Amino acid sequence: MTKSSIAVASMIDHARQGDARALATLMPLVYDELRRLAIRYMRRERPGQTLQATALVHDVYLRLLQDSQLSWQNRAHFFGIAARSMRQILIERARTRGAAKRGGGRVRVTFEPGLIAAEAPTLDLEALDEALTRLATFDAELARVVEVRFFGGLSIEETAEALDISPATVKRRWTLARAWLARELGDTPRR
Amino acid sequence: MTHDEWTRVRELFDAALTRRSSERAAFLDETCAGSPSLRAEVASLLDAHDRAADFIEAPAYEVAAHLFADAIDHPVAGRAVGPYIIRHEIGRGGMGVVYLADDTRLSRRVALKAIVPGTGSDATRRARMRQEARAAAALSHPGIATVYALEEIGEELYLACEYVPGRTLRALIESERLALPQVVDIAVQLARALAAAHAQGVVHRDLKPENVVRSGAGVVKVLDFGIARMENAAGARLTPTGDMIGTPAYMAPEQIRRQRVDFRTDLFALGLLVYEMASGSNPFEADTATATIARILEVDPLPLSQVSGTGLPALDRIVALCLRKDAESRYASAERLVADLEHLQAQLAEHRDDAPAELPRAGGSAIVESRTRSAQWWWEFHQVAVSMLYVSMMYPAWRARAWLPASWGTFFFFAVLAAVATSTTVRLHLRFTARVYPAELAVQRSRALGWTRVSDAGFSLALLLAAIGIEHAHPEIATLLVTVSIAAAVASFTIEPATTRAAFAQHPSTSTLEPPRRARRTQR
Repeated sequence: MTKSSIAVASMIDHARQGDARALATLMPLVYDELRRLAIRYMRRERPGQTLQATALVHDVYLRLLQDSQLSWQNRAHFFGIAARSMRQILIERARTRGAAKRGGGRVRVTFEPGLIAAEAPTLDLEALDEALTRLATFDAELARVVEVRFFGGLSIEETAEALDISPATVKRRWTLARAWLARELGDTPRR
Repeated sequence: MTHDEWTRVRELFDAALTRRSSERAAFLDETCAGSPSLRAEVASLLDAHDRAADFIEAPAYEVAAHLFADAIDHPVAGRAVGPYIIRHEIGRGGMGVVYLADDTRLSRRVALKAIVPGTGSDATRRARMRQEARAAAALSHPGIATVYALEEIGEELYLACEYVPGRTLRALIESERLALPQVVDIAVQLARALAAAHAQGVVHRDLKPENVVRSGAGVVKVLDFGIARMENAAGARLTPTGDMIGTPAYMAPEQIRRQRVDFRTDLFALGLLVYEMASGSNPFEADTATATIARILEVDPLPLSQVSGTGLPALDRIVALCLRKDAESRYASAERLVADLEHLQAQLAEHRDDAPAELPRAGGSAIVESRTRSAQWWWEFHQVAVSMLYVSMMYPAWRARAWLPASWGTFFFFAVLAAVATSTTVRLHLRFTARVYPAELAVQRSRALGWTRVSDAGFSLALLLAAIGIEHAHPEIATLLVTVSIAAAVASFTIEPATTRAAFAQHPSTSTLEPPRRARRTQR
């Protein structure tokens, strides 16, 4: 078991005990991995070379969990925490970028040509984050599915495993949450 | 919306989705009868669902990948940056990435340095960079890669410099052992470049083998002249984890101490480059940055000729003068250094056919007449003279043996024999090492010191005691023994340390002389 995976395992134990510091400790690890991932992602210079999303996020998790003897439950728990930390990091990053670029304004994340697909939809990450927080106030289950699936990048099946619910349930919740968020963001005046 | 209402919305939404879209309206009419707000809520969610398409289906880190891409947020091949078209990356320096690019306005190749993002946003910093770039751009010398322009493209800053094809000094040092005339040739070109820049008040501050390029035609050019401070302004010498990029191995003591840096700092670096070119290694470089810094501040490197085996004391002296810890005692100008190097180069050319070791004596200049060399000659002479004296004393010792009481006589003779054998063997070994393996001499000298001291003391003492024993019967011989005894003691404890110091210590202020790493490694 590598040093970092021991660290991750013990951190998760702490997290299970509700230790908020564990999240803070995990963040730099996840951050580094995200950064490495993003760099690899950006390196692909031509369009049409989209990576398989789950393959990427699995690299992140595998590196963090490598050789670990985490139990299934721990692993599931880990996905939850990792997804939350990824959310926090991404939002934080989008916020500081927005501040730097527009003197306090917010940044609209753009699918740059050459990055993902030919059409370039935009997504206001901060607005999404705010909407997700609102959603959590009256339906935490839906919000959790979005967090794990969108920010954590897990598939339906993996999300089911991580949240200990059936894939069918995940699918139903995901569909509703997506519709709700899309409506919220669609209604949000573009800032 | 209450919790119950929302639960109802969820149920209806899920149920509606299991039906065909054409049947959904009827389904909602039926189930939401009497509750228009519930119907509107579910209907709008279904509508959003139909229009959502790929909304958030791609994971967040894909959508936001470029938020993390600071490190690679640089142009790539074929991309236009202002009037420049990037060809490819040619290196990464303290400042950031360096590209080979085409300047479309003037149809020439340039080395385009992307100054680390974020440095351009600060107005005062930008102004300072402009000023530095202007000073650097004013330099015009065949030995200096010209700075063409500081380009401010959007928020990014780029420095367009002359592109110098060729090999860096680092590559040269690593791939081959440069011959002495080559070393001196490169040194002369470097010193001229420094002199030209210093005359305009521009100091390099970061001269190192990576910043010197030699073209195929043998022309040497210094890169990044006058822009080292920009790097420091950018804080780019630190990686995100705070590690220093590269080593401090080419910093001068005053740079490490953060004292005033001026042209003499460049002279120190040049001396170091010459040392490394001739010997193959940087005498200060150690395993860690801290150890390297300590060596730069405290250790005087061995004379170059002792390490490289080149036997060119004139170059030793030039290098040692550049490497003085105290900036004040280095060359007073790069011009003086150029003069000395050119003088040496002329002599090398004149005596190309001679063996290198004979060269210094041919010269008449103050530099070529090496004080160090003659001191070492005296030291070697001392070793031989003492050995001869000791051996010649074996005869009187043999005679004195017979005049002493029987057992005392034998003891005395063997004591003298042992002392003489030890002392002469060690001394002749040292002289041999000095001639044949100069690089090992420092280590051998320190090993031999104890043996010579003990045998010299034993020799003096034995002669003195014998003299007392035969004083009445043979006063003349006794006087001779006493005289030699005193002479040997004085020679060993006073004269020899003096000649040793003159021959091997560069600066009397520094008492310890450590051999450089390479020399030490061969000992193990």
